[in-house]
Amino acid sequence: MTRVFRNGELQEVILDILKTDAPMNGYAIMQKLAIELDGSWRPSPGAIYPALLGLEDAKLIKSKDNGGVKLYELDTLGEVAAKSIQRLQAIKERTLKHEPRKPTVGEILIDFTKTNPYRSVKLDNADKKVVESLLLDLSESFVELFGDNVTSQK
Amino acid sequence: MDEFARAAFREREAKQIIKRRVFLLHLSIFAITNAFLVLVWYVTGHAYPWFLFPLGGWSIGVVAHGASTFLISDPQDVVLAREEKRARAK
Repeated sequence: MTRVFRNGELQEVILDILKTDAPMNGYAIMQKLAIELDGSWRPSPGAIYPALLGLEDAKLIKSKDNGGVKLYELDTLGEVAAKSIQRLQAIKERTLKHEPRKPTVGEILIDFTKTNPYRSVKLDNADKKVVESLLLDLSESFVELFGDNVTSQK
Repeated sequence: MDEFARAAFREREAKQIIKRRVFLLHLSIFAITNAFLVLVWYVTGHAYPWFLFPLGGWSIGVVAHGASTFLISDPQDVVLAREEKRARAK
């Protein structure tokens, strides 16, 4: 798995986020990153908190206690530094340039079967016919949806 | 220290526990495999101690793995350890 952030980039991205959305607590910053990067990186407190500590030590951000929760915002130096940073946009362009892989109908059906709470129910003949009829309807819906776009089995 | 900081410390502790367990697993496999090689050497006439070659080479790997587990810290761990000291001093 390739790294999303190179050295120091995470801190620049946090400054970029706090430029527009301060004050924020750690979880809010994590959530914002997860949304902006569209799942290509799942942030964790263990990654974000040391970055916040580093920024606080460098006097680029400051924190204030808000009922037991620390809120972070840019300090004076941080405001100056953040003006020239567009790191979040650069990371998004780099990580999201590859289109996410499209799932297949088969994969969706497999997931449905694996997670369906009724998958282990034993059927008598009448119920078996009902389920087969439902599946036949589904199959006909696929024909309507996809027409002749049928690939051969691999 | 707020909940976010505590979550970061818990994550760091969990990672360290995993690192140590992976090293212990490596050490166990090293010990068992080399004990087996010594046994084979012994039952096949115990002449030239050829088992020393895999033992020696593999030991380098085990020592390196141990060093990275117990001596070398991630920069994030260094920052968190410093913050932990500060929080305790308060």
